[in-house]
Amino acid sequence: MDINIVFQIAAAGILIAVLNQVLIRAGREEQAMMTTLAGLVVVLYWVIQYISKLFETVQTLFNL
Amino acid sequence: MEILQIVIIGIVGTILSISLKKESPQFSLFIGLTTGILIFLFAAEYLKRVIQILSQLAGSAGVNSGYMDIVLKIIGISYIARFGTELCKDAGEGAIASKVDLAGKIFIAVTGAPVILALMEMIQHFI
Repeated sequence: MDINIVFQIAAAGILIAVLNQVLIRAGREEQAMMTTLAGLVVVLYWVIQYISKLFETVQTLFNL
Repeated sequence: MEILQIVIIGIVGTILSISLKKESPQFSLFIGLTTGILIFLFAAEYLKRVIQILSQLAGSAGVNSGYMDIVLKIIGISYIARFGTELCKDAGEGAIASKVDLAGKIFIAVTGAPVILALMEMIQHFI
């Protein structure tokens, strides 16, 4: 029951949002967009592992 | 009690998701998704016990195990379809949610077809 994945994602989200604002204020909108996308990809990588665990559990549970 | 853990996880996930809703909506959806998965993985242990009890009952009641499998399969399909639909609705994508729902209903109908056919044969047999 590791809830720290939720905290990791929240921390990543806050970090990306702050970084985004800083880069936009600094006049580099493209880099801001790129960092947001990079953050999204990293978090997506974490979440995909949980999604695959969910689907494995459901398949074994309901023998789909 | 485990239910307390689940409620706490749900509340923490909701608060984090709302706090990120304005700046980065994508991450709030990720948090909602992960919290949902964590809670389900936690409840899956107890669900396994319930399913075992159900299949024992069905076995002792003489129900054909094939039908029990179909019932379980339909429950699994409906759960996953609802999981996806609710997620898309949370993100505000009503159109995608209804398509996922439609596909789920179609798969349930396909899975349940043999039972209906068996019923029809039984009825014709009596008439």
